[in-house]
Amino acid sequence: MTRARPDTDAILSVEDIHTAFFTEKETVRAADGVSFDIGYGETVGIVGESGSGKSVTARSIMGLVESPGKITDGHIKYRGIETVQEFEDRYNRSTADLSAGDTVGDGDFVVVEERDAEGVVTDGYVDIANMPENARQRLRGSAISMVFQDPLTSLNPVYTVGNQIKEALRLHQDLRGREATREAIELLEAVGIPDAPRRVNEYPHEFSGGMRQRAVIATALACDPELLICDEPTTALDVTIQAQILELLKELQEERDLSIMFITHDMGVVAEICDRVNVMYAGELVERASAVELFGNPKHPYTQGLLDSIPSRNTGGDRLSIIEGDVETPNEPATYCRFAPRCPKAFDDCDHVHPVLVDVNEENEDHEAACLLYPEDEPQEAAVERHRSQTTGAEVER
Amino acid sequence: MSTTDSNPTTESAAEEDTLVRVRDLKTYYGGDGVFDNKPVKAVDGVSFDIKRGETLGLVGESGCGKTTLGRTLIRLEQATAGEVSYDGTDATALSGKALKQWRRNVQMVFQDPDSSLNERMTIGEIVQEPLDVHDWPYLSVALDDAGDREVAGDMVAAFDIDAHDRPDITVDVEGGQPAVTIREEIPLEPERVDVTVNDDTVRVRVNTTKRRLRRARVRELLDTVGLQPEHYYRYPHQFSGGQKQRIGIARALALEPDFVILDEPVSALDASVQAKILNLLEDLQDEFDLTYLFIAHDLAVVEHICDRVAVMYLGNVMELGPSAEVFDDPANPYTHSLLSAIPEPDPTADKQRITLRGTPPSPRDPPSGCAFSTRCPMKIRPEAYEDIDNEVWEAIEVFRDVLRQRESREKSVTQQVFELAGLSDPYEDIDSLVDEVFGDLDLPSAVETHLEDAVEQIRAGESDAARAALREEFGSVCERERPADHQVSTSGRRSRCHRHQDEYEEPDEYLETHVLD
Repeated sequence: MTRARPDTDAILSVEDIHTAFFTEKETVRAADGVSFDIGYGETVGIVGESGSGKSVTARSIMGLVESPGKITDGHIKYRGIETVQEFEDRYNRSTADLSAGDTVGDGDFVVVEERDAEGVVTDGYVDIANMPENARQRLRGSAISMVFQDPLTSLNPVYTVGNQIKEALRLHQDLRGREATREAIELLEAVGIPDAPRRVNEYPHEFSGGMRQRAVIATALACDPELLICDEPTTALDVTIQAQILELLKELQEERDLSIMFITHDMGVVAEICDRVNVMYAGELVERASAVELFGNPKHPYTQGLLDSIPSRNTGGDRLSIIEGDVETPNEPATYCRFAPRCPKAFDDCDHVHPVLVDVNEENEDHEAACLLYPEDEPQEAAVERHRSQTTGAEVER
Repeated sequence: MSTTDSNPTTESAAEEDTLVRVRDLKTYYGGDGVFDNKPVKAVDGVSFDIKRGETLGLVGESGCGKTTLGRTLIRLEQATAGEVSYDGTDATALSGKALKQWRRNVQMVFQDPDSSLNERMTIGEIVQEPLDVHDWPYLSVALDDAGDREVAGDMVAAFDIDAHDRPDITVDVEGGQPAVTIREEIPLEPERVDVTVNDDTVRVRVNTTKRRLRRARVRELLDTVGLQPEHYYRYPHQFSGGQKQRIGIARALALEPDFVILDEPVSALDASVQAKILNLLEDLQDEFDLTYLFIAHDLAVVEHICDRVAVMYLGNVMELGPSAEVFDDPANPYTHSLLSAIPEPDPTADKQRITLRGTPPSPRDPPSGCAFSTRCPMKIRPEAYEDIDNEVWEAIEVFRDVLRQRESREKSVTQQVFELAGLSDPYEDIDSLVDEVFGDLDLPSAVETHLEDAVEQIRAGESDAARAALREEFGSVCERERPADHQVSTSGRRSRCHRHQDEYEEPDEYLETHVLD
């Protein structure tokens, strides 16, 4: 199955997204200026420890941030062309047609960039960060789907597995009755559940852990999404079952041309499944590169520390190397490097200059790190100045 | 290769170094009800030794019985059969005072620091609780050169080797000026102990209270595990996961145990925090001469911290040996499969993976023969089918597995009544099932005939007979007999698999030639 692709190569662009949680005590900037792209048919990993903001980023994309949390700034541009066409039709008033000379106004969340000769939209995006809830609901579960960590809490114990898949089919594809049952069985077969016609009538408690996660994936795939967000989908599973699920995701990706955003804290899983990796620390992206590059040549001191602390990469010494200190809660605007207090390579400027993502050196265009040590082929002062100049006044104020 | 008996290490010269000796241990749940007469065999005949000062790893998937085994060892669960001896005494037979004393020596650190710490108690209270329960310190006094004199005093007790491992206070009476030495673990200065030597007694007076000593001990423990003195008055919710686990470790160490069971102590923690706790555990082991049983499902962690490792599957220890050997050169097919499933943090690694089919069977209804036989990729095939296509063999296995699962599935009462009355046929869809499993595979005629016979029998309502016939035809020694432990290396490593017998190909050879190609 291949889809018509517009020229832009990302299906999803997250641009400078800020999601904060407002509590009486403090404002926690859980995602603080996160930007990344996910390409068509690509698996992009977001890794980080608990509290790094990776799940909040995923929930922002799905529009699942709940009060007291709120997306305060930024854009999440989804470029699935069928969705843009449908939304242009449905939300005409909130559409900005750049091809007709419009500008994107307040409240516009559908943007048409190009039309072909017949006037059919060929390029454009919908902005998830700025759309109303009812529009988000239309997107959620159809074009973009999500698989959560614990399969038992994402399945309803009082409905059969088949019923839950059929619910998704009814809501988004208007399939009912026999037709829906047949589709549900096919989906269960597609995710490798043996004896599917029988198991479709069973309840979640009759499934084993691995089977449940397969069923959750089947539900997520029910409406043929283009983008699948997996939030630690294998963390609750045993290694042999994890291997099965990872293999399944790879197969499904190939068959269905899926783009996958994969959130995990397990570096082994990242290495296994991801094409590109984003590393998060305290609400910010600190490094991004292809998986091969990131594991072979980690640049940010945090990534280096994280990789060194994994037992299986510590084959030589007796003691595991550790990162001193604990992750701080990002509760104030970043005017300095949040990793500096724990960083073995920190120097004076780290406390005053907020690092931004820059290329690590000239040869490596696809490898960026947010650290004052980079670009490494520039003299230190020039590098620091580059970071300082890119942190605008507006950003500091926020 | 030789088959060892059920006492795999009796030949070992270091017998006196063994701290924990487990022989043929079984822990079953249920099975005594009127209707429900099949017990859950959580631990099903396990034997091993743990040497003093070593770390034995216990790995396996969830439900394999590793936690139950750990809990049985410290008598949080009652063993159904078998023997657990600790330092020469049979721990399963202890009761009363002896049990209480034994419990001081064996402690446990639990997996989930959130649920194992009482939220309404301060950290100080939590760590002090075991000290209160066991009335620590005992302040046992041993006398040197005291002749017939006996110990007297309010807070102290005479040292009794049966009740205490070592004396807390030693008083040397020689030469008229009594000299007091106090064990390092007791936070008491010798100046606070007054000794009066009488004709027939040595009166020992301790100028402090047990409460104060306990509090001082708690502060020392907090320091030992890397917490700050001010943490004493805080509550568990004020701590991060790693810190909570440190509190759990401090509590386990409070009574100076020799043997600590660590039940997934780092599973709930992030990688960088995990490394800190693992380093701490290693330091503590060196400092206090601890013996660990380390239960985990993360094999990389086990490889790092354990001297020897036992791999469990469905209540059985499948392989047991030195970590380095087990991880570098696994002998058992299950160990092979488990190791091959670990994702490596290196995207360039080109590893040939064995992906196991399905999930482990229920311990209520374990397979006859080898526990791993329903999923084993290296299962011994009957001679006639030795060279059959892998896909066909796989399909036969899947088909048999589906039949097996349908048979053992719990049915609702209505369903059972309907089936008994012949109103509902559990196999009405047998044709589509066959179609789903075998699809467009090209079946050899021998296989096809037997399958058709089985399908006929199922249609005739004789599914048990069909399963038996299939088993007769496609089953092998793996399904008929429980494999014995075979010694597979000079270090005494043992593995439980029929393939170690001379007439079959060894698992690793078979893996090379048949599974990975």
